[in-house]
Amino acid sequence: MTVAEDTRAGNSDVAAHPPASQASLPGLGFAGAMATAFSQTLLLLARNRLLWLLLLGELITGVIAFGLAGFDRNRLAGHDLFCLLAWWFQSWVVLPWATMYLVVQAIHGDVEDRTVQYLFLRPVSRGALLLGKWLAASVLAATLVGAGVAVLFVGVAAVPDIWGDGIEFASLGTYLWLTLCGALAYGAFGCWFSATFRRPLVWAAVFVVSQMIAALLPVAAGVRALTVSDPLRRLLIAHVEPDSRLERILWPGDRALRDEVIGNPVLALAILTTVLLALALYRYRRAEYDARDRE
Amino acid sequence: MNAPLLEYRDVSKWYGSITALMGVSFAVGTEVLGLVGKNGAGKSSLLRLAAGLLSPSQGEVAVLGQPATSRAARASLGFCPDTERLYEPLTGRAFVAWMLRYHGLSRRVARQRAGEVLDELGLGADMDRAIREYSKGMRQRVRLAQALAHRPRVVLLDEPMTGLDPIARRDLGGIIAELPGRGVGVVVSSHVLHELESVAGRVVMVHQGRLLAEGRVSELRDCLPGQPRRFRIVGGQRRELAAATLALAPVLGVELLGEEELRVTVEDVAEFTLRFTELAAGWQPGVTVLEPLDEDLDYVFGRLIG
Repeated sequence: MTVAEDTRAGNSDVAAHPPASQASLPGLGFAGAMATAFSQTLLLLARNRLLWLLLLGELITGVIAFGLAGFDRNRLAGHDLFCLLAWWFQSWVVLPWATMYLVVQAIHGDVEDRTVQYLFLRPVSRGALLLGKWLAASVLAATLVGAGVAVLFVGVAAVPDIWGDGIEFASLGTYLWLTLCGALAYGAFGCWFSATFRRPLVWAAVFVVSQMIAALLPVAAGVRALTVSDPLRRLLIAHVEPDSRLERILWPGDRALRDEVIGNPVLALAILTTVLLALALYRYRRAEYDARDRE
Repeated sequence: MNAPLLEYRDVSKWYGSITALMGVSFAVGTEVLGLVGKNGAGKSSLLRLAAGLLSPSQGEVAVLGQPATSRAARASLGFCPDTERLYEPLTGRAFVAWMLRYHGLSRRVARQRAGEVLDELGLGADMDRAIREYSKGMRQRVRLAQALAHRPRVVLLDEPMTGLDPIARRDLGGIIAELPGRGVGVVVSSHVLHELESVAGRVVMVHQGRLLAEGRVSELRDCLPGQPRRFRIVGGQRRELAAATLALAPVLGVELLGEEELRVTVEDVAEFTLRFTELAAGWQPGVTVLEPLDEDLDYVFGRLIG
């Protein structure tokens, strides 16, 4: 018999155990675990019905773009029409929402329904799991939004006589590049929100609205550096060479951009993404899943 | 001295100002250990500490001598949580194989091993159906499979019998009982005490975050000082048998139950057993049953927490 005061005795007739390294499968390294988390997250997210609805919506916007190009052929050049539609619809609205939704689903969805504990039990780095999930959701979002941008381009390009100097495929390339950079950065925000807050989608909504307000501030306002849309807008304007009219539409406040103001938007996004991922990793690695609510 | 497979050393856990566990110490060897306590006693916290999902506020939890939060410990441990959700769109086999991939198995080997384990657990025919179509019992088998498939040395089962029908409980009990034979240490938690009696060789009782008692059920029962004990007796001529039994010195009372059944409350078990054996030997109508009614965990736990 053993009572509370005499608990250290344990069970002495235990067989000596071999070292853990000999007894068990060792587990994947960082890159292997990240690649596994990436592929598994992609497969899980691909089963989300919302993705197929989004894809249907993207096709419809292509049809709308074609209609607008045919109807409005005397007012806007093909290049400007594509830039406007791609920016205001895809880059400004669909990209942040779709990316952060997918990342939150991939990371916080697991925490919410407690399936994440099955992953945390494995002999792999939690950081690898988080980065794999972030990358998978961001790449999926970039692919979906990129497909939408391409559909828009096809819709506008289907009316060739509104492209004065011929169809500009470079604009499509710029938007696809912008979409990938934006998805990774928005994904990093979603990653941080998911690892840190109980209601990450609410924080994502607050962030998107806040960056819309920040876009109305003067160009020099420091708070713009904390948004994703500002570097994306700089990247766009630096590459598509808009006329002054398009520049005014894309740049709220009607402020002319000079090279020194544009800076290096890709570097700015890379720094922002790295900082956010570091914060997310710190939180995710320390996360505990207490059992009080069930007991 | 041989090392235990799992060891808690003076473990405390606080959630803010709430104390979930306070100074708990015990060890688990190659055996099935029952973890008993009411809801909120700290059972799940103890299991999650061993699984590395929680870190102790004070003290240490070691799996095969390694800190429970280390990768080496996680490689040697299987945990079957009591959460209902799994990856619903996946099949049972795919889910287990996905988890095995993180242990370094190739896609093909992981799938093969997952199939073998699920087959062994009786899910062979349904392993390729989507989990969302599974019953509670089938889900429990999948959870158990992911805990066993990588062949861990320590297995933690959190309320594994909850929601299972009697046949599934019996089957699961059989599976658990076999594990120590493979060199595995098992900890099974439950707030339903009688569930553990059939599978656990030893029990640890926790109450309000403290370790109340540890040992075999019979040992724990015997340590309760001055507690009257009850026996069930079945024999012929029950009224005469009741009178003769009541005349024995350690007997405090006798109740007449069924046609040939008595319930006897005694003060000194050893003395009663000796004297009643003499009585039964000479009782011509015969005594067919003498069984203690207070061996069960419910009784012991109830007495311990007052």
